[in-house]
Amino acid sequence: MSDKPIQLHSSSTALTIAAHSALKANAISNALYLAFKGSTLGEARVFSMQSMSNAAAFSEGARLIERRINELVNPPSPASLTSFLAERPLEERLFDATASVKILTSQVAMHLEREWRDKLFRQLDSLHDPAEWEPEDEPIQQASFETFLKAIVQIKPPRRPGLGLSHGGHLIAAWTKGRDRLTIEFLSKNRVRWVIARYRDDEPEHFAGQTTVSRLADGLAPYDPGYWFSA
Amino acid sequence: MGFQTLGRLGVRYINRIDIPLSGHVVEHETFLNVYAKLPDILGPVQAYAVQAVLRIEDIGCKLTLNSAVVPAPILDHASFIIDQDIAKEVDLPQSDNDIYELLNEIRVRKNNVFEACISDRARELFHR
Repeated sequence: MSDKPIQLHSSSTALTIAAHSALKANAISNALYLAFKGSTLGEARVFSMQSMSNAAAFSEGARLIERRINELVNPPSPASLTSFLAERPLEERLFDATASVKILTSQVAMHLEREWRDKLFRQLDSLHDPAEWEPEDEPIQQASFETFLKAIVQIKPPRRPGLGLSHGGHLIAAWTKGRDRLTIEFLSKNRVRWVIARYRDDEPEHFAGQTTVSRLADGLAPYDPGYWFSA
Repeated sequence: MGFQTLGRLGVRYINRIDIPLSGHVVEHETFLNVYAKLPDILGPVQAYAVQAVLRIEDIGCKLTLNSAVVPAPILDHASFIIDQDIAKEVDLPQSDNDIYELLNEIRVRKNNVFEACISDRARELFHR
């Protein structure tokens, strides 16, 4: 422990012996300061408690110094003001979400056909139509879309998938042929989850897997990818 | 009131080059002419960033050239950027015509710099 906290503690103990009620409060706040000094949040709270308890005990000059010290405490960073972001209007959140993934698309635009990109953008706009949006749903997550782009650029499926969103904002792509369906959910951190539903002799078969996007093609290989992806 | 004079006129161009992986090694020196040169004894380079600042004398501009490895946005590729910041900070043009003339000249130089920073093998990637 450094010297400074010990001096503070000694000082508050001496003042407590004076049996002044306001000074007792100061001793308590100093003790709290010692208890929470490792935590920025705790320290800030103890500072404010000291301000309340000191009001009756110290001179105007001392309070001025204390006030100036408190002004030196860093305010919360803008990045930590998440409550403000959460309160943005729905239309704004949806617009920002679609804009951010369109920007991501632009960064790999050279690997995608122009017509493919245009259709993709229309699908993204449709998915985020404010008129049909369920308020409790999450807009598309950038990390999910990054995984989707990696898969699409690698597989280059001639058949376009239908797109959807999970409640959590993960992009879902589905390739359908009759009653058969391949569904891939694109997760963050390059993870994918896929489900195949096929009918053989009118009996349904289901296969599912979860892997990294780099292993997706290998994971689907036993299930005739051409059946799903060929035009 | 008058008007404010320009203090700096510049443009920035960032190009990313996605090089297909063959195995675990990318021979970036066969695609790029700007890269970090390190002793062989240190082994393969996993990432690097280099910066050079040069004068483009005839148009009085400063070129800040950055090249670095960046995370590849697609699978089975390694990505590199050629980042050019070309700016003029003294004796700046102040009329619209002169400003556009300088910007056009900078655009030409930017193309020359980019072409000088990549190899024919990299150019082949753009025509796939």
